[in-house]
Amino acid sequence: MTSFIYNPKLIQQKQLEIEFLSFFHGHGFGIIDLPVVEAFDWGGMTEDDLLLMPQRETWVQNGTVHALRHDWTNSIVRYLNKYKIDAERAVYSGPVFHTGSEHSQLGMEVFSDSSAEQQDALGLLIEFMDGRLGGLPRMAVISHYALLPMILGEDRMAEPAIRRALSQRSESALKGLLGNHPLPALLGDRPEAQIHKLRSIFPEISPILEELTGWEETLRRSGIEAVYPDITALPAQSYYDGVFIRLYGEGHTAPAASGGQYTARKKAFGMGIFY
Amino acid sequence: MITIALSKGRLLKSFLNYLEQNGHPRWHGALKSAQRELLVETEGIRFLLVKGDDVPTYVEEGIAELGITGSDILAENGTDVNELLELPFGRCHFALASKEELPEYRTIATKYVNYAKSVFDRSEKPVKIIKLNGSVELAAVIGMADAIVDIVQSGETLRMNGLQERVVLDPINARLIANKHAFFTRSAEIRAFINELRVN
Repeated sequence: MTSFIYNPKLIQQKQLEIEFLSFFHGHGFGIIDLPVVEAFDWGGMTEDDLLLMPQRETWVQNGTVHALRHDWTNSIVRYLNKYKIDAERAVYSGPVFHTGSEHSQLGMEVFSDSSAEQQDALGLLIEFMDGRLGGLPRMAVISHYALLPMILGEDRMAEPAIRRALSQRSESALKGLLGNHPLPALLGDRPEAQIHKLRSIFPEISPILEELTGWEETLRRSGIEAVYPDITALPAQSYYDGVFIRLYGEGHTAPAASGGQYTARKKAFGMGIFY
Repeated sequence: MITIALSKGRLLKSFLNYLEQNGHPRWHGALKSAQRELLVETEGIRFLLVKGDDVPTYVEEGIAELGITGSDILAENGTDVNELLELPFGRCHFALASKEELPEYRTIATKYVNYAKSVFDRSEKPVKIIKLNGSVELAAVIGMADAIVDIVQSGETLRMNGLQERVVLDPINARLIANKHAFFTRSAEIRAFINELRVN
């Protein structure tokens, strides 16, 4: 019934989508679209596909698994792994479905390994959020997915108990699992101080920390004053392999936007706003 | 002011004992004197006294920055919070208990369905699990289930109902949990609370 009633919020949402697409199109981004229903072959599913399946809305038809789009970057990565695209930068809008609910996502992707181009795109996204989505995000959490494998080693990173303790930021559990490794004690420090101590203990991670500093400066230049490093962040999908950023609005515990660097044939950066 | 959701009941008693023994007279006094109040404020800390099952929800939703609850509840609920520290109180364990010792236990009554499922999956034994919300012992007494999976502290409740502990399962203790957002934004206050607790 409600779909037949004039709904100002619906008009506002469509206008917002058009403004977002136009804003990025005006900065040289190509507008893309992908099907909201995705098809998966049983035998062709990757570990990432299988990991995400329980959160997806799925059904089986004619022996093929069909799923509603879970998030745009995931769809784009799957597309890029199969097809070539010429675009250097892309912008999108549309619904995503997870854990039983429909959400709307606005986002952009930069198909380039240039940090400068990626950071420019992040600046634009924050500029749009400030102008059209109720103001600047109040805080950012920034991580780098190459950090933990370097300080813990690939073997430890493969241990499910260690991964769980890292995702819980559990000082107690990590002390038990990692013994005398300095990481658990670092979790007792303020997040800002953790990076400085990491640098002195593991000088080999300096290039990663410098990269993080570059992104932090971009966030601060965009007006976000509170930027926190997260040294125990784990990627939700294996294609995320670099910087990852979560932006939070005032009084919200769920991120208003998130995304990061990933590899799908080549290096890329993508970020989405959820509203 | 930092807000801490506390589990009422058994765990609260255990927390009060810990506070008394470790030199926190004000926190102890304020919490001890709370009769039916669900909100207690003292020394820049607001304690919310809530049902144990609800502690992770208050923390996940950001109503409380921190929470103290049992690892049994965290094992069962899988809430999206940071499980920062094991705390040195609230110790007990999960156990499988029955009226008679049987070669196999095929029907299990429990409040902890997810945990029980993981236990029997680990031992590769198929069982039927019946969810109960309380008085779980009764299920084994009247024969609704072959055994129960429940928390055991002293074992007194089991003995009073003619049940015996057959398998000692995972240990349980209190855990300090944190909201994932507050972990960053309130880190100084969280660290101050941990230092005050003197658990390290």
